[in-house]
Amino acid sequence: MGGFTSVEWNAIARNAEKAGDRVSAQAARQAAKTAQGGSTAGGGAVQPANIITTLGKKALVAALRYAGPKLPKPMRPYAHKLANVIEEVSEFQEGALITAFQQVRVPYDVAATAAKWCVVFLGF
Amino acid sequence: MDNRDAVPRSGERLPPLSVGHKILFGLWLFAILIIVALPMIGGYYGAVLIYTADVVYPGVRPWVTPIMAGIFVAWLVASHIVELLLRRSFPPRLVVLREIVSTLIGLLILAVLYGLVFTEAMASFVAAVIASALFLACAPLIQFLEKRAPERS
Repeated sequence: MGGFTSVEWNAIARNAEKAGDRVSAQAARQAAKTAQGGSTAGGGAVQPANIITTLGKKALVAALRYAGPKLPKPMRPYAHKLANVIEEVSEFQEGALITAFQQVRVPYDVAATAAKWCVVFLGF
Repeated sequence: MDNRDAVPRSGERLPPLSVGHKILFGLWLFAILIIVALPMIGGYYGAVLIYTADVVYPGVRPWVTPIMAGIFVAWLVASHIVELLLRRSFPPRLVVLREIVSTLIGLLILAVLYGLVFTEAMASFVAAVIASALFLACAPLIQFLEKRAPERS
């Protein structure tokens, strides 16, 4: 899949969604899931992580992303890399829920929306 | 601020930093860790309010903030390792049970880490519960900030 990480595929998906290209966005999200699957310990399906530590990781990633651009230019790539590494570790959850919903034959767009809301309210 | 040129590509080797930049980056990272570890600091002060400052090991108080930042990192790493171990031991169909176990173990790890600061086990556990509750209370804010965070690419 072009050597992109799940984080990069998700960024591509977001950009495609912003541009109104739902088909490309969906394809990029699928690629992100595949990339995540390749990076999980089991080497197979993507897995969720526990609620509270997930929130901690998300908070850390958000803080790194907000504060990264405030750093002097030579240091910014390090901030981005750090945020990407932590995010890749914590981004399993949404993909796992989408996969689970799709296994019970929920359409992808419905599964993605439901997973997003589950992540918002439950932190899964 | 446009910082596209600062976003590294996957697998790209980053340019080495000077000593001054390394120190600045370390301080920056430390400041971020302190901000993110605020619920942990809240857990500490919550337990101190309930059990009084007598339950804190002597000499800890001036160093509470950096200790909490360290505990936060240790907790994230330990919980992640436990998560990986649980993934191997639980069958995939028991996802919900595994997540409950994982969350409880995460809480236990946090209580054990708070044990480095508190002399009483109960105070450590209460601090862990308060910190977890604070993280959960901050969930909508964290989700909101995460959504509005600057783009990665």
